[in-house]
Amino acid sequence: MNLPESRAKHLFVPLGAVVLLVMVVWWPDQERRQRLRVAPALWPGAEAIVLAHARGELPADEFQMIELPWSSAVMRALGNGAADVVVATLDTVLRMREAGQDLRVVMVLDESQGADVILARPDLRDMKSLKGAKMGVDVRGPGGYVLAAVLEQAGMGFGDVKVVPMIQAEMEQALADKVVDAVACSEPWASRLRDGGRVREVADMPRPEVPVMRVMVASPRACEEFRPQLNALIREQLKGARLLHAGKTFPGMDIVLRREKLEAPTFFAAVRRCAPVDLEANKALLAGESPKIEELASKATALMLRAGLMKAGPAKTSWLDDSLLMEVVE
Amino acid sequence: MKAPRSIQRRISVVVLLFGTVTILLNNWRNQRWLVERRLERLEQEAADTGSRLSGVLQHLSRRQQDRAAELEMAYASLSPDVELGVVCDKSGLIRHATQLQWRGVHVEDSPLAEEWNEAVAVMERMATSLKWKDSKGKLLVIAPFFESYDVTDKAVVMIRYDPAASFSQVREEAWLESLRHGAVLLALTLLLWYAMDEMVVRRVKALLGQVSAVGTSGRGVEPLKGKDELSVISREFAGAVERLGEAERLLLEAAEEERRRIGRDLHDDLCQRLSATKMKMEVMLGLEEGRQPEAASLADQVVKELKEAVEIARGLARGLSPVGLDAHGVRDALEELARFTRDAFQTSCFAEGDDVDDALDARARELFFRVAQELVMNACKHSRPSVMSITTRLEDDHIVLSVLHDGEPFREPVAAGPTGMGLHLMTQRLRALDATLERTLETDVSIITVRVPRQKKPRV
Repeated sequence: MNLPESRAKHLFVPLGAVVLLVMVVWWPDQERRQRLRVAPALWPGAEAIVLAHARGELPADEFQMIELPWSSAVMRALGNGAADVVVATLDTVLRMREAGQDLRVVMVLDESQGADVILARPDLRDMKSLKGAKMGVDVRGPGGYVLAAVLEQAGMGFGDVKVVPMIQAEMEQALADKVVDAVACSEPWASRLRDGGRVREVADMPRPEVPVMRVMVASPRACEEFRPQLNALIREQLKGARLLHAGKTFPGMDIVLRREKLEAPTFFAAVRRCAPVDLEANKALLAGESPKIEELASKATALMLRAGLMKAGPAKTSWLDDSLLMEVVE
Repeated sequence: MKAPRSIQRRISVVVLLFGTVTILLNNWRNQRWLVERRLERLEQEAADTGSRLSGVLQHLSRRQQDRAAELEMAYASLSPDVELGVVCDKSGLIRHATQLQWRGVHVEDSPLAEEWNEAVAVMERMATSLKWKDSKGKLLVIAPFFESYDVTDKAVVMIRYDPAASFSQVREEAWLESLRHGAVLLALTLLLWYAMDEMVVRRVKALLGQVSAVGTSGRGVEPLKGKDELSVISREFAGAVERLGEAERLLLEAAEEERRRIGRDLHDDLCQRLSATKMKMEVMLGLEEGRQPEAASLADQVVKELKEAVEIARGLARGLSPVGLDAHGVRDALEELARFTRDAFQTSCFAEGDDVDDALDARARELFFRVAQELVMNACKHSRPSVMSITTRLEDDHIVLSVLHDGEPFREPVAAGPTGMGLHLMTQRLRALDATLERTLETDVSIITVRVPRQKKPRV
């Protein structure tokens, strides 16, 4: 069909209109814009996130802080979709993976160097004296893993103690009420208990072979939909960790101290018990064909299997996402 | 800014303007409706949360289940609009909060300090309060409960909502919806423009072309097809043009017939009478020559004047009814015209060319001759040539008449007058012949070419 040129040009008008109408029909409905919901848990090393949010570096129109008071509540929030990103321990992550939870570890915050301890009545001085003692443990938190590791290295097992399940917030009262003789607890509760003066660290407590590591865990959906926010979160965590470990007062410190319920010197002492993992060390742990954290996770899994904290271990599914770390520019 | 001229553009612009105004109005209404709905929902959510938390916290407090109460408050922060929520005892000490930093702090040291007086009043009334603060910027719900079984042991849940982000999103949604409506409007306007172009504008242009063609060439063009109003107008117009042409042809024929009759009358009657009178005067001149020299001289003058009168009358008769056109054909008539031109205007004029009689019917032959006659007379009167040629040529489909002369080039008359009338009559004749006329100038020679379609096919 031969059309005059002007006629052919005119055909672009209805064609353009039809294209416009098709675009309108296929125009996706706007999804309600959501903020990245972050549950940082109560942990000195994670205060950098809360601080960045309070200072507006993680803006409120992009980040929603959900302040849950203990670690098992945090993991439940991730599990039921109430939170997109949480800070949890590696052992908790492994147990959630065993339970079938799909999640991604996007960075390692720090390694515990005395921040997860066994605190006992002053008369219980060493590991042997713990035999038969009533141990307060947050079995769904890091306490279970710490106790298992410590007992194994001391040649003992769960059978040698009486486990009393409790959350960390209950431990102080439980010790005061003599409901338990000792507790496996983490900062900041460990510092609060020490400050209380009614407990002390077991003298010959060995360090776990695989240290307790706090990791940032995100849902797979968050890794896809909130990449810029996750990048900002990682960046602020790395930056804030340096600030916290500088040992000097900083703007917004009052917020952190009120949250942790610690005095400044105690807080800095607690922070020193968590060795921060910087960007390069993070890449070494998470990136590469056989990430180093896999090896650590295998060892921790084996320990928890031996201690009966796990039944079969996590399935071999994807659980690391190093791509966000690679995008971070400090 | 120029206003659009064409009806098509005007209608399109009007539709676009009306649509835009409608969309903006709709956007305004939509935003209001969405914001109001969001406000209602938020108020409902605040009232529900306040009453639920006060009930749950009363229960948990009486059983001293602080951890569960702490968790309840923490989960209250899941609502994206919650800015801060606290649980205070009657002294104002914050027991639990959605932000952990405020636990154990007096409420007057927290961001909810200004609301404490109202919370005290609520504890006195023991009735939930729901109020907008900062001219609907923030919503505050205060729900009281009893901490223990002692009725004086009161506490409150205070939650402040900041819906700014939600409202901003609602407005954004309304604008996106309006943008979508705008895209649909633009698409429909484009389609309307195209439909009007196809159905109206092009057809009106064709109709204008039809009118214009009649005005310039005098020939009708194919009327528009279809059954719409424009097609009817086009067909009616074409019919009127045809009827007008027919009337013009009849008028021309009648005029020619009248000319012929007058010419015949001049030739057969007046010329004969004048000739007879002249002969009688010549006889009288012969009789009086010897007897009355004065009378003979007078008779001689009368004879001469009668001779001139006869010549003039014959010339008029020839002009009105060309001698020999029917009997001898166009070529002889043109030769006669050339001879007359030589005699009358002292112009070296000659006629030559093909015999065109077989290609034209009688009526057309006369019109053809009249056109040639008008062209020659016009040239002689206005261009004053010294040399002129009249040629005819037969082509396959046309008869070509060419008049060449070396006089002044033709100029269009400024105003209608006698010359204008001649041109008008010639135009009528050309139209009746369905002929075209072209004037060109080549090296000071004016060439007038008339092309007449053949009415009879050439003999094979």
